Amino acid sequence: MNKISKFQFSSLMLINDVFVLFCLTGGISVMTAAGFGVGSLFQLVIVLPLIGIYRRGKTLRDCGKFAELIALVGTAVWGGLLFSMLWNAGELVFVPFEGMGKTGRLLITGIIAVVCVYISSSGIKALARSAVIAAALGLVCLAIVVVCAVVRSDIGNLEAAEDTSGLYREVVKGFALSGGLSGFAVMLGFVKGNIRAAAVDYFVCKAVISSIVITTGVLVCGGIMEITDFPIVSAAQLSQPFPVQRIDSLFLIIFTVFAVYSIAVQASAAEYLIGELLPAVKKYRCSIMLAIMAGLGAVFGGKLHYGLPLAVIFAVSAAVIPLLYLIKRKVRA
Amino acid sequence: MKACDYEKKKIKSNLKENIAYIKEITGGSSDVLINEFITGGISCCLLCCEGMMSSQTAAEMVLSPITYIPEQQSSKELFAYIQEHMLMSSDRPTVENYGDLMRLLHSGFAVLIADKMTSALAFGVQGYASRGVQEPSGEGNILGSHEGFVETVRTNMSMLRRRLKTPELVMKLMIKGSKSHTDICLCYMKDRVPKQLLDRIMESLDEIELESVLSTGYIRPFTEKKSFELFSSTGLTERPDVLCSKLIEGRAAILVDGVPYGIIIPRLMCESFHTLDDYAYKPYYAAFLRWIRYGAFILSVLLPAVYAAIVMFHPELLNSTLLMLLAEEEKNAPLSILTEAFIVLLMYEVIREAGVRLPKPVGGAVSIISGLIIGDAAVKSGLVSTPLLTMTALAVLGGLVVPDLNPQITVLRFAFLAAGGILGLFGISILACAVLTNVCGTEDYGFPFTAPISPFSKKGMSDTLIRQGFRKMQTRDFTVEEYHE
Repeated sequence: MNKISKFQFSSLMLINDVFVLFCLTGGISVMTAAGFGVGSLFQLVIVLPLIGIYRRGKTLRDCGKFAELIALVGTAVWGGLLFSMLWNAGELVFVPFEGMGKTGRLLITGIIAVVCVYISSSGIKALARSAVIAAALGLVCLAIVVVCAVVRSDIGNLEAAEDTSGLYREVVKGFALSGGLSGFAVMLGFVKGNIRAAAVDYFVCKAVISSIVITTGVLVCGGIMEITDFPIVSAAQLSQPFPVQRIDSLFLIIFTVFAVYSIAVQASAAEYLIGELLPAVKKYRCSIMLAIMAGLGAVFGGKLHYGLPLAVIFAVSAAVIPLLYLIKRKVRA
Repeated sequence: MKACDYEKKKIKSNLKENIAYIKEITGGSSDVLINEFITGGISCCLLCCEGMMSSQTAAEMVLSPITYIPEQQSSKELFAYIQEHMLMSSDRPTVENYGDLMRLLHSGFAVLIADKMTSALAFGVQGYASRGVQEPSGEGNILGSHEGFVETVRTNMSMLRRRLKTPELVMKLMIKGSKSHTDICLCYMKDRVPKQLLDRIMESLDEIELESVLSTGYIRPFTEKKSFELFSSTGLTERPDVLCSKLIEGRAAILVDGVPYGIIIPRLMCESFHTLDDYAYKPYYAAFLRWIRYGAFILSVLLPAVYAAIVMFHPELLNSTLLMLLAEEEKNAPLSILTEAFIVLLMYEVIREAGVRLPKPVGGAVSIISGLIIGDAAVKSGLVSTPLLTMTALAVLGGLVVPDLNPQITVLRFAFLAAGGILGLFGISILACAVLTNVCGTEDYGFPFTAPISPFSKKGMSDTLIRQGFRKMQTRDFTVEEYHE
């Protein structure tokens, strides 16, 4: 049985969220941390009906083909955005060939896609188990970065990075970067045991980790926020535990591992959905979806979209699935 | 003559015809001894296979008493007399077809056939030359037993029985290989082993239709998944004490006649880092040793790759003193670091292979010549830089700490080196993701290879990250079923 534990589920999802934090661009403030925290709790509220459906023993299939299609589109779009984020931040974390322009990006995309195809083909269990190890390693590295950053932080930076955009805009930003909700809807169906506890644990962890990482970023980079492209990456670079060694280069390892797993989770979810929607397509499901994601990434052009439209799209894609289930049930009745 | 022609054929009642047919089956093979004689007034024939039986036992237990049988009315009475009045050996089956007869004959039994009888009596007088019990060559141990398995399956079975004197230990013999008729022994503790595991192992063994089974390598693929797995989910051991500890944990084992190793099913990755000495030392020291092994494994796989990646792509990771030192050394080297590393590692593999395959006295000399002379010459001539040679030597040394995983370490070391040398830390990370997924996907009979780390088991950590004391461990009542998914 392809079932995963709630621990594995949370790891799969959190890797995706932490990778998004790594790629966060523009100014961040304490309000951003609050926005991401509040946004996570709102997301939990949005997916509560979906959790209710799963708890009744229903699956995404019971919500209808249209619901599966919406989840597939959401997964593909989010996969595209992940590629876009990777290209955007790749140069900063010294990914070789990133500086070669389109050829370099194509090469990196190709390599990541091949690995993602392999990971997805290994099955959901292998993906989930390895994601736990990757997440644990990432968490240790992140803890080191956070501790080092806190030691070198300046409390005055909190004020220096004060944002006037307000909580609403930051919550919207949090929603716009929550495209993993479609993948969440698919993966939640694989969880064994207490589904509600799995979802709640995940969103609470997401809120806590996002808030800690963003606040750390603000504490370190608050004073130079205006000239910082990637505040979290910069925070890692600036918080050297030793005076000479550039330990932040090791950040690349976590960045790459998280990038691979983030995309692989979306690819696996998309592969499952294609299998449900088009059972006749037996081969190359994952490759096709990764090609579409990479294509969408190229369309997004390496720019991140924090605006309301994307926030609404991702929120609706998660909320509409239970709605479609209700409609289907009414029609049948 | 094909085996299928005589396998099921019933033994003929005419002695002369019988002997002629046996000669036809064996093709007149010189090691099959056919002794015709008369005992109890009945014409008989004692069949033996030279070299497979103990001449002394055969003479004392069979040949001598059989000649003193009083006059009998018929062959049937003769066989009845032998069975009721003479205990020639503890193992004395009656055979009715030529297939069983040949199997027993070639296994070292003395087989008695008589005129006008359609069955034969076999007496277990096996006694072929075999290696004595010696210290295992590959699983060194300081404080534990120094006994290792031998090539004779029955000796190996006795070694297990000596350590587990309980009726719960079951050892089931079966025969595999249509030509080799190799004895295979499935061992398990009937109160510990999960029934599902046992059934599935039996199913896997039933799939074997090989002509010969000459090593454990013939059996293992049948007990593992068909998909590509870097690591093997079944283990090997040449130590009876290790095998017993695994049986107590609810695993099954397969012993193959002719091979001084036992197959353990299932095996977990963390067990490759355990030794029996861990349970003889104080827990804190055992835990320390385990961490040394974990570190050595990672070092062994990644050190050359990380070195190449850092020097070629991420020199900022080094402090200035180290950077200057490496730059000074590497600037004189004519080849790129990646090429250098590949050459050094390949040279090591060639030397190692030569050392293993050559006769022992020559093998040792080859190692010394290669290590000292070629290594020294390569550095002095500037072909290879000293830091790189040091890194490679450290990596190789690390691999020797975990001999169980040596094949995987060797291949992964090359793969990671290529990834690190071409794509830097990015390449290493990407490959690590693929390898990690493969390792985590390794699962046979529902036992994840990476348990108890992922899927995580808090209870399992007490004998993985650390080594709990026996006072606590005795209440743990652990069986491998706890990891079943």
